[in-house]
Amino acid sequence: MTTLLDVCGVSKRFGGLMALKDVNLTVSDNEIVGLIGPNGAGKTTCFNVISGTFPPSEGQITFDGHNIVGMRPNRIVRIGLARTYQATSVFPTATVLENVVRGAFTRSEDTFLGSLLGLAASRDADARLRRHCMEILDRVGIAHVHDHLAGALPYGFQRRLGVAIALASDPKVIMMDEPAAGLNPEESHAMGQLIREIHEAGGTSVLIVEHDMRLVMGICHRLIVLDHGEQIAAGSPEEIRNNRQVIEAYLGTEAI
Amino acid sequence: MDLLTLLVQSGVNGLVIGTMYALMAIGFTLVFGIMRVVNFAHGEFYMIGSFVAFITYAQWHLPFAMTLLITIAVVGIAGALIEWLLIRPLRADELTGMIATLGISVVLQNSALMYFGASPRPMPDVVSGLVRFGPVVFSWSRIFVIVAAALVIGAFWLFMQKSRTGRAMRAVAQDREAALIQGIDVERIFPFAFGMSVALAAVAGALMAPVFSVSPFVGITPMLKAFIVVILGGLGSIPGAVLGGLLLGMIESFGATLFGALVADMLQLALVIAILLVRPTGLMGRKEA
Amino acid sequence: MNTVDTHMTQPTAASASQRGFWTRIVLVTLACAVAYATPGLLPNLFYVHIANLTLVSGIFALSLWIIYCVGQLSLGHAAFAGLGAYASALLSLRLGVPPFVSLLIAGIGTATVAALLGAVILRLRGVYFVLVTFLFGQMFTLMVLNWQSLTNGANGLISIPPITILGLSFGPRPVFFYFAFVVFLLVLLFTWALSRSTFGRAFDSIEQNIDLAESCGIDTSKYQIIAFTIGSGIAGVGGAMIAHYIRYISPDTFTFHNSVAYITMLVVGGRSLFWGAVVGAAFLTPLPEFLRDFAGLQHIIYGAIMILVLRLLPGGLISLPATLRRIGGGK
Repeated sequence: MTTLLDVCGVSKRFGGLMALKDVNLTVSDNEIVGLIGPNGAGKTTCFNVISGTFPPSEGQITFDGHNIVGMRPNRIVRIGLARTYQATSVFPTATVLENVVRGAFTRSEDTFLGSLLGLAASRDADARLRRHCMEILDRVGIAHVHDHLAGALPYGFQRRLGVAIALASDPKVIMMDEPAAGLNPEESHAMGQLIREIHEAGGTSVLIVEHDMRLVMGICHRLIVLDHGEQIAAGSPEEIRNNRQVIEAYLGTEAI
Repeated sequence: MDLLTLLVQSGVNGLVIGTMYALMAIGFTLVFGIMRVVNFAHGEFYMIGSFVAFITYAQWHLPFAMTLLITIAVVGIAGALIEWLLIRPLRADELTGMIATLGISVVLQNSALMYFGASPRPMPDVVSGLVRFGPVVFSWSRIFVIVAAALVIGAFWLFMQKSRTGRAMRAVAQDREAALIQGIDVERIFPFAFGMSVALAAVAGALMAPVFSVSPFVGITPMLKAFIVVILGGLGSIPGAVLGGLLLGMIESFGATLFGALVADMLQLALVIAILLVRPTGLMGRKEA
Repeated sequence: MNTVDTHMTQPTAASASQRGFWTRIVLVTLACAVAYATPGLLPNLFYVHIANLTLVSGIFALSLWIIYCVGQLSLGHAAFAGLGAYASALLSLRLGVPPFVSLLIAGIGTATVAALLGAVILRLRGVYFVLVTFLFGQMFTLMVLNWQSLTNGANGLISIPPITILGLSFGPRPVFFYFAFVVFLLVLLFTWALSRSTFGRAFDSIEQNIDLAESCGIDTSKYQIIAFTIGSGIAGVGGAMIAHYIRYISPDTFTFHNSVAYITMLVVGGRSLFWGAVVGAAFLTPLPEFLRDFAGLQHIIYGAIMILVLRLLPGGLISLPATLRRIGGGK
């Protein structure tokens, strides 16, 4: 196993507020890592710092041999680190298939001039891309609605589409921000199934933030626990379940 | 005229236009902070304010305090109605809201043009006479504008700090979701905030009517300046609007004394772009998380 | 995998695009034929003049649409048109550059200024961008007024030479019509092709969801600068066309009100598709000319139409058929 994502000693301050304090985490190839913690623990901030939305105040982040601190989000995606969003995030007035095609923007063999002039080579490249994207839609199980507008999809389908868009960039690691938020237990279970399938089929590693403990415990190989921006525990799901500090952090907020 | 006189008078002039810019910018920034609407019609309410003052003071000969009250009432109510009728349905999308206010601006300005004609009308001073400090001479009318504007700004500040509605407005500006959770009726706040914002612009128009004159086009420059001020001070920041307004007034006044008015105007615009380069959210603006 | 096969089979896609290709050729030919006859069919030169202005307005509205495509509203569009107008007029007046060449140089020059300004201000999102383009417009007007030695200040530039290509002068109104039509058609076809290109895909992604676009690996700042540069550059060409057609320009030719008028065209025509800009320009440019008897009222009507359309027909005139159908179907 080689380390793909290496977050080392990362802190993030907003004004006087310390949102992240000396966070260390790694994601190696072929593993599913969970990032958990009570509300306001800094999980989403951690995602935003890694994906380049804003820079860390301190610390190093490397991905696949690249230093990605200060790199623009679009560059980070292009070297193979994709993300999904907590809320549904799609292109609402484009079709479902077109959404995924956009996710594959940087993987397209199409050229600007070719597409501007409508050359045959460009049309072929586009058709190939569309076929590839249909396969992705098929994998996440929403191929049958490929010609619907994304904004009109039911909530559960939009969440799946979000995953499909991220998959289309052909990432080595996908960061998923609460993929099961707002889903009912069955949908949540199916989402867990989907994440495992993605992992097993493509060898894609997953870093996942999630509140649904059943889901996290079920699919993650390793867990990292944040509380008040600090890492308080790390280990296998079994170890975390029995960790005193973790239980204390969660007590009073929600049952583990 | 010796240098001291020139400097002191530039300072007083700077304060006059600075407080006026501050009044304009407070309202503009308030509406943006609370409603996320950029009001391109803000200057037209300044214009309407100066016309209301002209009619009630110069034509009906009412006392000026009464004039101010009428201006605030008329423009405030008109503003709330406009918010309710035209802006409410359109502000969901930032660009659409902005375009709607552009349309409102065009309609208001040209309606005034049709009704009053283009020629500027002079308005008599509210207080007259000169005051002397050694070699330096001021006109009471300028001092009056500064004091009146400062009082209005002070009253506004007190309102925002102490009153229930004022505090609710600040809460909405800070975090709309949180305000909703606390049970603040956001939909009721909006017309009130908009009415108050444009009433402040109208007060500026009424106070400045004797200093400049009254015409359908008087609102354009103050609005342009309000834009510059909020960029200087940071969109949504009320202290930023006050400080930015005073700063801009001073820069403009001293710039005009030293280099001439047109150069001073260009310097201001260059300054704004320079500031945006260094601090994209303005001098006192908050970073968006 | 059934869905994949039925919907994406190669032959249907190819033949459909072939059909589309011939439809377009027929459409363009038809448009050219109509345009060829137009100046002769109009009752007098005044109507030809309005037709000319409409074509140039169409160019302005289309170029503004390109910028709108990346979710930005430029309130300095008239200033870029003015920049192109002054650049081309001065090149031909002072340096004797042939007007057609100066027009192209003006377009490239305007695009360069837009690229530089865009690189600086497109980091600013939404509102700040709009405010700065507004200030840029004001700064342009002030600069033209101030720099008397170059621009002749408020008096403007007179006797600007007409566009001449191979000895043919496009000065007379009916002849200029053909020039304006060709440029308009080129801009229209370019905008259409652009909206279907990879750039168009990036633009639309940014407009719909800028954060997600960035997460798709789309360099959002780069594409925003590209859209701003292309749109402003075309506006520069349009401005230069006005300069060589009217043959007189002043700081009043390109003001904030013109920028608002272009936005109105976009809104009234419809913002979702490129030809909405064309519909808006065609509807709104002749309108003031027919309201001449009600001076002052024309602007009010402009503003009122804009608000009414926003309120009642948010999709603009191009959405009218669909809206009518919905209302009809609802009965």
